[in-house]
Amino acid sequence: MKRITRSRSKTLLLAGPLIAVTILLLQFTTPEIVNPPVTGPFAGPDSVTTIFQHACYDCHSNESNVRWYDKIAPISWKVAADVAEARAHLNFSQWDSLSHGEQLSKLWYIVNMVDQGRMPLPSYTAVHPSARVTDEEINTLKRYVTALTSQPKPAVIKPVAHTTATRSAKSAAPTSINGIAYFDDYKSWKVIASTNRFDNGTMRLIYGNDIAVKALEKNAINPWPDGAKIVKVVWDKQPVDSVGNVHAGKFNNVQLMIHDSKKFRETGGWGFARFNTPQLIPYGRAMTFAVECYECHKLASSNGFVFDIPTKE
Amino acid sequence: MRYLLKMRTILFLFPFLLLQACNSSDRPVLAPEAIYAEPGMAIITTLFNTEAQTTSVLYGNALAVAAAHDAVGVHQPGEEYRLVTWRQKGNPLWFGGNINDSIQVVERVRAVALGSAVDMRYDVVMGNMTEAFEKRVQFILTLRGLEFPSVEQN
Repeated sequence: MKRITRSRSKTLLLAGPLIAVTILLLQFTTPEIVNPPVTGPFAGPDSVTTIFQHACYDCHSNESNVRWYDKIAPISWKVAADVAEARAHLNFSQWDSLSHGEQLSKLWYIVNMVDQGRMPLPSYTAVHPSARVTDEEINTLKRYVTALTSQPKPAVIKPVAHTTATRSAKSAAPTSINGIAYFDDYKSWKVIASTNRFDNGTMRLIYGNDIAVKALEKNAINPWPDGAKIVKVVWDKQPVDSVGNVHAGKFNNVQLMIHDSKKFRETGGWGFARFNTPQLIPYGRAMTFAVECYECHKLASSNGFVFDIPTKE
Repeated sequence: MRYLLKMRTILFLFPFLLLQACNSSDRPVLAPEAIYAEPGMAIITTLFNTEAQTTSVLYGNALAVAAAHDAVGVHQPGEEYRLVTWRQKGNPLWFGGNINDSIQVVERVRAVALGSAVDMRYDVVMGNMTEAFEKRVQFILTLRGLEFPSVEQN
């Protein structure tokens, strides 16, 4: 027994310096995180900019403040890779390169990521507690994006201002780049949710096929069964009338989600497609568009990546 | 020694327990009872009310759908409408959106022949409605059909 203990001590004595030398040598491989010039910075109110600066800028800007401990390999490799990926997704130092619509869309996405505690990354705030966002700061961000989006109410509202529908001209079914073709079948399915968005001025009806509705009834949506189909039909909102009614207006787009765990493995088992305008123009010029959809739908991972399903309080 | 072993087990399991705890509390409870089904009826339109914080969907049978898409607005016996109204709440998964909650009221309007005229019969199928039925009938009949995309299937 004593011999084993002595042998183990000897191994440890040898391993210790070896590990120390290896770590020392690794330091020569530490990647340098360069801060390129700030070309078009985010220009919001100070109260909002300050939050982004302390919570996001280390990774999502050209003003990364890399601490001494972030420079120690092998941690530094991960930090450098994370910063590169973060800047590619969103760079507050190049905010001006985005269109107004893109800026607004990114801001709502940021607020929801922060609101759900997905950003800043919990693993990051564990080491950098100053990056944490307080509830009050989240409310500041919510007020900011809501105010940015709010439209002034029109002075005069006609009593019946909603659209008189005209059926679109019949044509062949358009097909998304990933092979998902538009279909009309959903019109006889059950509506599983009715939603409206004050971030982008739209109203939606969400339909589910029998497989999807049964999955909801059995609470078997993590994951959803193969064959489940969900269709979201989106209309523009009309101005609010004198008693608070907001009617659906012009058709905007239709979005399809088809569950096939093998075929769409890389996007959470869901195949995504979207067709814009009554002409049903397929959205997405490259296959990567579905990854965009999936990245956003990850916010609804607790619901099997579906945002709009009925839930209790 | 036994105490140390127990501590080591707890420390080892702690992250998993924490993860489990987070998962169970984050998952919303589904409410399939909020799904309204009306066989044989199609959707005419949808609206929501910012003051009452409700959201509604108007269903209709084939005759009602045709009347709601008819610019002249002529009604005929046999038309049947159902206006389903839910309470609405903020979408728990997306700040910036509202979603229907539980069903508040279901109203029905039926067109029946009364001599050579068409009479509109109104009743509340589920829940309560305090507003005068004449106003409700008038409101429901002014709702026009939504524009849906449509294609011929290959």
